[in-house]
Amino acid sequence: MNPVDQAAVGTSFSLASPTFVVFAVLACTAIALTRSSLGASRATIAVANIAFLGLIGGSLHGWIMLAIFIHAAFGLTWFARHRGDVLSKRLAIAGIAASWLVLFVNKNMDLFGQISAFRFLDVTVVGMSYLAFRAISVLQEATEVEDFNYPDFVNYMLFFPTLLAGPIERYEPFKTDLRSPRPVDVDVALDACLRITKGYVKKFVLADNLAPLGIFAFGSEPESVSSGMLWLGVLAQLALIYLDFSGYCDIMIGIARLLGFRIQENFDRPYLARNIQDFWNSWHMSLTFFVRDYVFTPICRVIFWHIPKKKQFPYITAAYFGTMLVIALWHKISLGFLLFGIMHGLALTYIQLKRRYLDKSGFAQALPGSLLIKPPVPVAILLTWTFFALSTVVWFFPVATTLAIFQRLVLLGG
Amino acid sequence: MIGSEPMQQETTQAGASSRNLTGRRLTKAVAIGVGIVLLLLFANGEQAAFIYQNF
Repeated sequence: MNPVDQAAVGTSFSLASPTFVVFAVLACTAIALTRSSLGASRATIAVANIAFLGLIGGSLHGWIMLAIFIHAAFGLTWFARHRGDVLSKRLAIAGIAASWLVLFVNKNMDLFGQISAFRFLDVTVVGMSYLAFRAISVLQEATEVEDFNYPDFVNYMLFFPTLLAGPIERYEPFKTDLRSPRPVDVDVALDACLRITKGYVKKFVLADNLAPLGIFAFGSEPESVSSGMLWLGVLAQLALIYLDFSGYCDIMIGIARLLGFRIQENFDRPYLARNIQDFWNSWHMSLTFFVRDYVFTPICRVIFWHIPKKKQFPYITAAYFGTMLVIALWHKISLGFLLFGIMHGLALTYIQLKRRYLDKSGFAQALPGSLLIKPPVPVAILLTWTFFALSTVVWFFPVATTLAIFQRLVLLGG
Repeated sequence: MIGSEPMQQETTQAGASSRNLTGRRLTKAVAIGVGIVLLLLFANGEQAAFIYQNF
Protein backbone atom coordinates (compact mmCIF):
# COMPACT_ATOMS: atom_id res chain seq x y z
CA MET A 1 0.00 0.00 0.00
CA ASN A 2 1.46 3.38 -0.96
CA PRO A 3 1.73 6.27 1.52
CA VAL A 4 -1.23 8.10 -0.03
CA ASP A 5 -3.52 5.12 0.59
CA GLN A 6 -2.10 4.67 4.08
CA ALA A 7 -2.92 8.27 4.92
CA ALA A 8 -6.38 8.09 3.37
CA VAL A 9 -9.27 9.37 5.41
CA GLY A 10 -11.25 6.83 7.35
CA THR A 11 -14.22 6.78 5.04
CA SER A 12 -15.18 4.52 2.16
CA PHE A 13 -16.85 7.47 0.45
CA SER A 14 -15.82 8.10 -3.18
CA LEU A 15 -16.83 10.81 -5.63
CA ALA A 16 -16.84 8.12 -8.33
CA SER A 17 -19.37 5.94 -6.52
CA PRO A 18 -22.84 5.58 -8.09
CA THR A 19 -24.30 6.73 -4.74
CA PHE A 20 -22.55 10.10 -5.00
CA VAL A 21 -23.48 10.52 -8.68
CA VAL A 22 -27.18 9.82 -7.89
CA PHE A 23 -26.98 12.17 -4.87
CA ALA A 24 -25.41 14.97 -6.97
CA VAL A 25 -28.06 14.64 -9.72
CA LEU A 26 -30.91 14.64 -7.18
CA ALA A 27 -29.43 17.57 -5.22
CA CYS A 28 -28.88 19.69 -8.37
CA THR A 29 -32.41 18.96 -9.62
CA ALA A 30 -34.07 19.69 -6.26
CA ILE A 31 -32.13 22.93 -5.76
CA ALA A 32 -32.86 24.02 -9.36
CA LEU A 33 -36.59 23.44 -8.79
CA THR A 34 -36.65 25.53 -5.60
CA ARG A 35 -34.46 28.41 -6.76
CA SER A 36 -37.35 30.85 -7.16
CA SER A 37 -38.10 30.86 -3.41
CA LEU A 38 -35.35 31.80 -0.95
CA GLY A 39 -36.88 29.84 1.94
CA ALA A 40 -37.38 26.68 -0.14
CA SER A 41 -33.91 27.01 -1.67
CA ARG A 42 -32.28 27.41 1.78
CA ALA A 43 -34.17 24.37 3.07
CA THR A 44 -33.28 22.23 0.03
CA ILE A 45 -29.59 23.14 0.29
CA ALA A 46 -29.68 22.33 4.02
CA VAL A 47 -31.25 18.91 3.32
CA ALA A 48 -28.63 18.25 0.58
CA ASN A 49 -25.81 19.22 2.98
CA ILE A 50 -27.11 16.92 5.71
CA ALA A 51 -27.64 14.08 3.20
CA PHE A 52 -24.02 14.56 2.04
CA LEU A 53 -22.80 14.36 5.65
CA GLY A 54 -24.77 11.12 5.95
CA LEU A 55 -23.10 9.80 2.78
CA ILE A 56 -19.57 10.42 4.02
CA GLY A 57 -20.45 8.87 7.38
CA GLY A 58 -18.89 9.47 10.77
CA SER A 59 -19.38 8.60 14.42
CA LEU A 60 -22.05 9.99 16.75
CA HIS A 61 -19.33 11.73 18.78
CA GLY A 62 -17.98 13.30 15.59
CA TRP A 63 -21.47 14.63 14.74
CA ILE A 64 -21.85 16.06 18.26
CA MET A 65 -18.45 17.77 17.96
CA LEU A 66 -19.47 19.16 14.57
CA ALA A 67 -22.74 20.56 15.98
CA ILE A 68 -20.94 22.13 18.97
CA PHE A 69 -18.29 23.70 16.74
CA ILE A 70 -20.77 25.20 14.27
CA HIS A 71 -23.05 26.57 16.99
CA ALA A 72 -20.14 28.01 18.98
CA ALA A 73 -18.87 29.79 15.85
CA PHE A 74 -22.39 31.11 15.11
CA GLY A 75 -22.94 32.24 18.71
CA LEU A 76 -19.62 34.09 18.94
CA THR A 77 -20.11 35.81 15.58
CA TRP A 78 -23.68 36.81 16.48
CA PHE A 79 -22.52 38.09 19.89
CA ALA A 80 -19.68 40.12 18.34
CA ARG A 81 -22.08 41.71 15.83
CA HIS A 82 -24.92 42.50 18.21
CA ARG A 83 -23.05 43.54 21.32
CA GLY A 84 -20.01 45.15 19.68
CA ASP A 85 -18.44 45.77 23.12
CA VAL A 86 -15.04 44.79 24.49
CA LEU A 87 -16.27 41.48 25.92
CA SER A 88 -17.80 40.35 22.62
CA LYS A 89 -14.62 41.33 20.75
CA ARG A 90 -12.51 39.35 23.22
CA LEU A 91 -14.82 36.37 22.86
CA ALA A 92 -14.55 36.58 19.05
CA ILE A 93 -10.75 36.63 19.35
CA ALA A 94 -10.95 33.60 21.67
CA GLY A 95 -13.16 31.89 19.06
CA ILE A 96 -10.62 32.64 16.31
CA ALA A 97 -7.79 31.28 18.49
CA ALA A 98 -9.85 28.15 19.31
CA SER A 99 -10.56 27.60 15.59
CA TRP A 100 -6.86 27.87 14.77
CA LEU A 101 -6.23 25.35 17.55
CA VAL A 102 -8.83 23.01 16.03
CA LEU A 103 -7.12 23.48 12.64
CA PHE A 104 -3.79 22.27 13.99
CA VAL A 105 -4.92 19.78 16.67
CA ASN A 106 -7.54 18.04 14.51
CA LYS A 107 -4.96 16.09 12.48
CA ASN A 108 -2.48 15.70 15.30
CA MET A 109 -4.49 14.06 18.08
CA ASP A 110 -1.65 11.55 18.56
CA LEU A 111 0.65 14.41 19.64
CA PHE A 112 -1.30 14.72 22.88
CA GLY A 113 -1.24 10.99 23.66
CA GLN A 114 -2.59 10.14 27.08
CA ILE A 115 -3.44 13.72 28.04
CA SER A 116 -6.00 14.01 25.24
CA ALA A 117 -9.53 14.15 26.64
CA PHE A 118 -10.78 12.48 23.47
CA ARG A 119 -8.46 9.47 23.43
CA PHE A 120 -11.39 7.12 24.16
CA LEU A 121 -13.77 8.74 21.67
CA ASP A 122 -13.82 8.81 17.89
CA VAL A 123 -14.43 12.52 17.34
CA THR A 124 -13.11 12.56 13.76
CA VAL A 125 -15.01 14.96 11.54
CA VAL A 126 -14.20 14.67 7.84
CA GLY A 127 -13.37 18.10 6.40
CA MET A 128 -12.85 19.60 9.90
CA SER A 129 -9.92 21.74 8.68
CA TYR A 130 -12.10 23.41 6.11
CA LEU A 131 -14.89 23.98 8.66
CA ALA A 132 -12.31 25.68 10.89
CA PHE A 133 -11.12 27.84 7.96
CA ARG A 134 -14.68 28.98 7.33
CA ALA A 135 -15.30 29.68 11.04
CA ILE A 136 -12.12 31.80 11.23
CA SER A 137 -13.15 33.72 8.12
CA VAL A 138 -16.62 34.58 9.49
CA LEU A 139 -15.32 35.46 12.98
CA GLN A 140 -12.58 37.70 11.53
CA GLU A 141 -15.17 39.56 9.46
CA ALA A 142 -17.93 39.40 12.08
CA THR A 143 -18.54 43.13 12.20
CA GLU A 144 -18.33 43.64 8.43
CA VAL A 145 -20.73 40.88 7.37
CA GLU A 146 -24.16 42.21 6.43
CA ASP A 147 -27.42 40.54 7.41
CA PHE A 148 -25.92 37.62 9.34
CA ASN A 149 -28.41 34.85 10.06
CA TYR A 150 -28.50 31.23 11.23
CA PRO A 151 -29.81 29.38 8.12
CA ASP A 152 -27.31 31.09 5.79
CA PHE A 153 -24.44 30.50 8.22
CA VAL A 154 -25.17 26.78 8.66
CA ASN A 155 -25.55 26.35 4.89
CA TYR A 156 -22.24 28.18 4.41
CA MET A 157 -20.42 26.00 6.92
CA LEU A 158 -21.80 22.72 5.57
CA PHE A 159 -22.10 23.57 1.84
CA PHE A 160 -21.44 20.13 0.41
CA PRO A 161 -19.39 21.06 -2.70
CA THR A 162 -16.74 22.72 -0.50
CA LEU A 163 -17.09 20.60 2.65
CA LEU A 164 -14.40 17.96 2.19
CA ALA A 165 -11.38 19.80 0.81
CA GLY A 166 -12.33 23.34 -0.19
CA PRO A 167 -11.89 25.59 -2.06
CA ILE A 168 -12.05 27.77 1.07
CA GLU A 169 -15.05 29.96 0.29
CA ARG A 170 -15.76 33.30 2.02
CA TYR A 171 -19.16 34.01 3.62
CA GLU A 172 -20.12 37.17 1.72
CA PRO A 173 -19.93 35.82 -1.88
CA PHE A 174 -21.62 32.57 -0.74
CA LYS A 175 -24.49 34.51 0.85
CA THR A 176 -24.89 36.68 -2.26
CA ASP A 177 -25.20 33.60 -4.50
CA LEU A 178 -27.56 31.95 -2.00
CA ARG A 179 -29.85 35.00 -1.95
CA SER A 180 -29.83 35.53 -5.72
CA PRO A 181 -28.53 32.41 -7.46
CA ARG A 182 -26.72 32.90 -10.75
CA PRO A 183 -28.81 31.91 -13.77
CA VAL A 184 -28.15 28.40 -15.06
CA ASP A 185 -28.93 28.31 -18.80
CA VAL A 186 -27.89 25.73 -21.42
CA ASP A 187 -24.39 27.23 -21.82
CA VAL A 188 -23.70 27.45 -18.07
CA ALA A 189 -24.95 23.87 -17.61
CA LEU A 190 -22.78 22.62 -20.50
CA ASP A 191 -19.70 24.47 -19.13
CA ALA A 192 -20.36 23.05 -15.66
CA CYS A 193 -20.80 19.48 -16.97
CA LEU A 194 -17.61 19.85 -19.03
CA ARG A 195 -15.76 21.05 -15.92
CA ILE A 196 -17.08 18.09 -13.90
CA THR A 197 -16.10 15.61 -16.65
CA LYS A 198 -12.64 17.22 -16.88
CA GLY A 199 -12.22 16.78 -13.13
CA TYR A 200 -13.26 13.13 -13.19
CA VAL A 201 -10.89 12.40 -16.11
CA LYS A 202 -7.99 14.21 -14.36
CA LYS A 203 -8.43 12.18 -11.19
CA PHE A 204 -9.81 8.79 -12.16
CA VAL A 205 -8.28 8.34 -15.63
CA LEU A 206 -4.97 10.23 -15.39
CA ALA A 207 -3.92 10.57 -11.73
CA ASP A 208 -5.03 7.12 -10.59
CA ASN A 209 -3.65 5.24 -13.63
CA LEU A 210 -0.33 7.13 -13.71
CA ALA A 211 0.12 6.88 -9.91
CA PRO A 212 2.79 4.12 -10.22
CA LEU A 213 5.09 6.71 -11.89
CA GLY A 214 5.11 8.94 -8.79
CA ILE A 215 7.63 8.55 -5.98
CA PHE A 216 4.86 7.94 -3.41
CA ALA A 217 4.25 4.57 -5.15
CA PHE A 218 7.90 3.47 -4.96
CA GLY A 219 7.41 1.64 -1.65
CA SER A 220 8.97 2.31 1.72
CA GLU A 221 12.58 2.40 0.41
CA PRO A 222 12.49 4.65 -2.64
CA GLU A 223 16.18 5.53 -2.15
CA SER A 224 17.03 2.03 -3.44
CA VAL A 225 15.65 2.95 -6.91
CA SER A 226 18.06 4.32 -9.60
CA SER A 227 18.54 8.09 -9.53
CA GLY A 228 17.02 8.47 -13.02
CA MET A 229 13.82 6.77 -11.87
CA LEU A 230 13.90 8.84 -8.67
CA TRP A 231 14.03 12.09 -10.68
CA LEU A 232 11.12 10.86 -12.82
CA GLY A 233 9.23 9.84 -9.68
CA VAL A 234 9.76 13.20 -7.94
CA LEU A 235 8.83 15.34 -10.97
CA ALA A 236 5.86 13.13 -11.89
CA GLN A 237 4.54 13.10 -8.30
CA LEU A 238 3.86 16.83 -8.33
CA ALA A 239 1.99 16.46 -11.64
CA LEU A 240 -0.05 13.66 -10.05
CA ILE A 241 -0.85 15.77 -6.98
CA TYR A 242 -1.91 18.59 -9.33
CA LEU A 243 -4.16 16.27 -11.39
CA ASP A 244 -5.62 14.79 -8.20
CA PHE A 245 -6.38 18.02 -6.36
CA SER A 246 -7.31 20.21 -9.32
CA GLY A 247 -9.50 17.33 -10.57
CA TYR A 248 -11.34 17.34 -7.23
CA CYS A 249 -11.76 21.12 -7.43
CA ASP A 250 -13.04 20.93 -11.04
CA ILE A 251 -15.74 18.46 -9.95
CA MET A 252 -16.83 20.61 -6.99
CA ILE A 253 -16.67 23.95 -8.83
CA GLY A 254 -18.73 22.39 -11.67
CA ILE A 255 -21.37 21.04 -9.25
CA ALA A 256 -21.57 24.41 -7.47
CA ARG A 257 -22.03 26.15 -10.82
CA LEU A 258 -24.99 23.85 -11.58
CA LEU A 259 -26.46 24.97 -8.25
CA GLY A 260 -26.06 28.64 -9.20
CA PHE A 261 -22.95 29.31 -7.07
CA ARG A 262 -19.61 30.53 -8.33
CA ILE A 263 -16.99 29.35 -5.85
CA GLN A 264 -13.40 30.48 -5.77
CA GLU A 265 -10.90 28.94 -8.20
CA ASN A 266 -8.08 26.99 -6.56
CA PHE A 267 -5.58 26.68 -9.42
CA ASP A 268 -4.36 29.02 -12.13
CA ARG A 269 -1.84 27.04 -14.23
CA PRO A 270 0.77 26.58 -11.49
CA TYR A 271 2.89 24.57 -13.96
CA LEU A 272 3.75 27.92 -15.65
CA ALA A 273 4.91 29.63 -12.42
CA ARG A 274 8.32 31.33 -12.75
CA ASN A 275 9.20 31.39 -9.07
CA ILE A 276 7.88 30.01 -5.77
CA GLN A 277 5.87 33.15 -4.97
CA ASP A 278 4.19 32.82 -8.38
CA PHE A 279 3.60 29.16 -7.65
CA TRP A 280 1.81 29.79 -4.36
CA ASN A 281 -0.32 32.46 -6.05
CA SER A 282 -1.56 29.83 -8.51
CA TRP A 283 -1.57 26.64 -6.37
CA HIS A 284 -4.27 25.97 -3.72
CA MET A 285 -5.05 29.66 -4.14
CA SER A 286 -7.93 29.71 -1.66
CA LEU A 287 -5.52 28.56 1.09
CA THR A 288 -2.78 31.00 0.02
CA PHE A 289 -5.22 33.93 -0.05
CA PHE A 290 -6.78 32.86 3.27
CA VAL A 291 -3.40 32.84 5.01
CA ARG A 292 -2.44 36.09 3.24
CA ASP A 293 -5.62 37.85 4.43
CA TYR A 294 -5.83 36.46 7.97
CA VAL A 295 -2.16 35.92 8.92
CA PHE A 296 0.28 37.79 6.68
CA THR A 297 -1.66 41.05 6.21
CA PRO A 298 -2.49 41.57 9.94
CA ILE A 299 1.18 40.93 10.83
CA CYS A 300 2.30 43.42 8.16
CA ARG A 301 -0.21 45.96 9.48
CA VAL A 302 1.37 45.69 12.94
CA ILE A 303 4.83 46.10 11.37
CA PHE A 304 3.75 49.19 9.41
CA TRP A 305 2.25 50.79 12.54
CA HIS A 306 5.03 50.06 15.02
CA ILE A 307 8.31 49.89 13.08
CA PRO A 308 10.01 52.75 11.24
CA LYS A 309 9.90 52.36 7.44
CA LYS A 310 13.67 51.90 7.07
CA LYS A 311 13.69 48.97 9.49
CA GLN A 312 10.60 47.17 8.18
CA PHE A 313 12.21 44.95 5.53
CA PRO A 314 13.61 42.16 7.77
CA TYR A 315 10.32 41.99 9.70
CA ILE A 316 8.27 41.68 6.52
CA THR A 317 10.64 38.99 5.25
CA ALA A 318 10.21 37.16 8.57
CA ALA A 319 6.42 37.48 8.11
CA TYR A 320 6.74 35.72 4.72
CA PHE A 321 8.78 32.99 6.39
CA GLY A 322 6.29 32.59 9.25
CA THR A 323 3.35 32.47 6.82
CA MET A 324 4.98 29.58 4.96
CA LEU A 325 5.46 27.74 8.26
CA VAL A 326 1.74 28.18 9.03
CA ILE A 327 0.80 26.79 5.58
CA ALA A 328 3.19 23.86 5.98
CA LEU A 329 2.26 22.90 9.55
CA TRP A 330 -1.45 23.16 8.77
CA HIS A 331 -0.98 20.03 6.61
CA LYS A 332 0.42 18.15 9.61
CA ILE A 333 2.61 18.94 12.60
CA SER A 334 5.65 16.81 11.77
CA LEU A 335 9.36 17.21 11.14
CA GLY A 336 8.76 16.59 7.43
CA PHE A 337 6.24 19.40 7.08
CA LEU A 338 8.44 21.67 9.18
CA LEU A 339 11.21 21.01 6.64
CA PHE A 340 8.70 21.72 3.83
CA GLY A 341 7.82 25.06 5.47
CA ILE A 342 11.48 25.99 6.00
CA MET A 343 12.32 25.22 2.34
CA HIS A 344 9.47 27.41 1.11
CA GLY A 345 10.14 30.11 3.72
CA LEU A 346 13.75 30.28 2.56
CA ALA A 347 12.65 30.39 -1.10
CA LEU A 348 10.33 33.35 -0.38
CA THR A 349 13.08 35.05 1.66
CA TYR A 350 15.45 34.65 -1.30
CA ILE A 351 12.86 36.26 -3.62
CA GLN A 352 12.49 39.25 -1.24
CA LEU A 353 16.26 39.66 -0.93
CA LYS A 354 16.73 39.29 -4.69
CA ARG A 355 14.13 41.98 -5.42
CA ARG A 356 15.66 44.37 -2.91
CA TYR A 357 19.37 43.88 -3.45
CA LEU A 358 20.19 41.75 -6.50
CA ASP A 359 17.80 42.76 -9.31
CA LYS A 360 19.16 46.31 -9.53
CA SER A 361 22.79 45.42 -8.83
CA GLY A 362 25.60 45.52 -11.38
CA PHE A 363 25.95 41.74 -11.02
CA ALA A 364 22.40 41.26 -12.34
CA GLN A 365 23.09 43.52 -15.33
CA ALA A 366 26.18 41.60 -16.50
CA LEU A 367 25.67 38.46 -18.59
CA PRO A 368 26.61 35.59 -16.23
CA GLY A 369 24.88 37.24 -13.28
CA SER A 370 21.73 38.02 -15.23
CA LEU A 371 21.44 34.36 -16.34
CA LEU A 372 21.76 33.25 -12.73
CA ILE A 373 19.42 35.83 -11.23
CA LYS A 374 16.93 36.13 -14.08
CA PRO A 375 17.07 32.81 -15.94
CA PRO A 376 15.16 32.43 -19.23
CA VAL A 377 11.44 31.77 -18.69
CA PRO A 378 11.49 28.01 -19.57
CA VAL A 379 14.45 27.49 -17.20
CA ALA A 380 12.71 29.48 -14.43
CA ILE A 381 9.53 27.38 -14.87
CA LEU A 382 11.50 24.11 -14.78
CA LEU A 383 13.47 25.23 -11.68
CA THR A 384 10.27 26.24 -9.86
CA TRP A 385 8.56 22.94 -10.66
CA THR A 386 11.65 20.96 -9.60
CA PHE A 387 11.95 22.86 -6.31
CA PHE A 388 8.30 22.37 -5.39
CA ALA A 389 8.40 18.70 -6.47
CA LEU A 390 11.50 18.08 -4.32
CA SER A 391 9.82 19.71 -1.33
CA THR A 392 6.74 17.45 -1.58
CA VAL A 393 8.94 14.37 -0.97
CA VAL A 394 8.75 15.19 2.76
CA TRP A 395 4.95 14.91 2.73
CA PHE A 396 4.83 11.15 3.10
CA PHE A 397 8.37 9.94 3.78
CA PRO A 398 10.28 10.14 7.06
CA VAL A 399 12.98 12.83 7.14
CA ALA A 400 15.79 10.21 7.05
CA THR A 401 14.34 8.67 3.86
CA THR A 402 13.87 12.16 2.36
CA LEU A 403 17.53 12.99 2.99
CA ALA A 404 18.61 9.66 1.47
CA ILE A 405 16.46 10.42 -1.60
CA PHE A 406 17.97 13.93 -1.93
CA GLN A 407 21.47 12.48 -1.61
CA ARG A 408 20.78 9.93 -4.36
CA LEU A 409 19.23 12.60 -6.62
CA VAL A 410 22.23 14.91 -6.25
CA LEU A 411 24.91 12.24 -6.54
CA LEU A 412 23.15 10.63 -9.53
CA GLY A 413 24.30 7.21 -8.37
CA GLY A 414 22.89 3.80 -9.40
CA MET B 1 -30.44 46.25 -53.80
CA ILE B 2 -28.26 48.83 -52.14
CA GLY B 3 -30.76 49.63 -49.31
CA SER B 4 -31.08 46.01 -48.14
CA GLU B 5 -27.32 45.42 -47.71
CA PRO B 6 -27.10 46.30 -43.98
CA MET B 7 -30.08 44.10 -43.20
CA GLN B 8 -28.57 41.23 -45.21
CA GLN B 9 -25.29 41.75 -43.38
CA GLU B 10 -27.04 41.65 -39.99
CA THR B 11 -28.93 38.49 -40.98
CA THR B 12 -25.69 36.86 -42.16
CA GLN B 13 -23.92 37.86 -38.92
CA ALA B 14 -26.81 36.59 -36.80
CA GLY B 15 -26.79 33.31 -38.74
CA ALA B 16 -23.01 32.95 -38.34
CA SER B 17 -23.23 33.75 -34.64
CA SER B 18 -26.01 31.20 -34.17
CA ARG B 19 -23.97 28.58 -36.07
CA ASN B 20 -20.94 29.43 -33.91
CA LEU B 21 -23.02 29.01 -30.76
CA THR B 22 -24.40 25.68 -31.92
CA GLY B 23 -20.88 24.63 -32.94
CA ARG B 24 -19.48 25.55 -29.52
CA ARG B 25 -22.27 23.71 -27.72
CA LEU B 26 -21.77 20.67 -29.95
CA THR B 27 -18.00 20.69 -29.28
CA LYS B 28 -18.62 20.83 -25.51
CA ALA B 29 -21.20 18.03 -25.70
CA VAL B 30 -18.76 15.88 -27.72
CA ALA B 31 -15.95 16.63 -25.20
CA ILE B 32 -18.25 15.54 -22.33
CA GLY B 33 -19.10 12.36 -24.26
CA VAL B 34 -15.40 11.62 -24.90
CA GLY B 35 -14.69 12.18 -21.18
CA ILE B 36 -17.43 9.76 -20.16
CA VAL B 37 -16.11 7.13 -22.62
CA LEU B 38 -12.57 7.60 -21.20
CA LEU B 39 -13.94 7.16 -17.68
CA LEU B 40 -15.82 4.02 -18.64
CA LEU B 41 -12.75 2.57 -20.34
CA PHE B 42 -9.95 3.59 -18.02
CA ALA B 43 -11.31 4.56 -14.59
CA ASN B 44 -9.60 2.41 -12.03
CA GLY B 45 -12.02 0.40 -9.89
CA GLU B 46 -9.85 0.68 -6.76
CA GLN B 47 -9.87 4.44 -6.33
CA ALA B 48 -7.30 6.02 -4.05
CA ALA B 49 -8.59 8.83 -1.82
CA PHE B 50 -8.08 12.40 -2.99
CA ILE B 51 -4.75 13.58 -1.60
CA TYR B 52 -6.16 16.76 -0.06
CA GLN B 53 -8.96 14.88 1.68
CA ASN B 54 -6.15 13.77 3.99
CA PHE B 55 -5.58 17.31 5.20
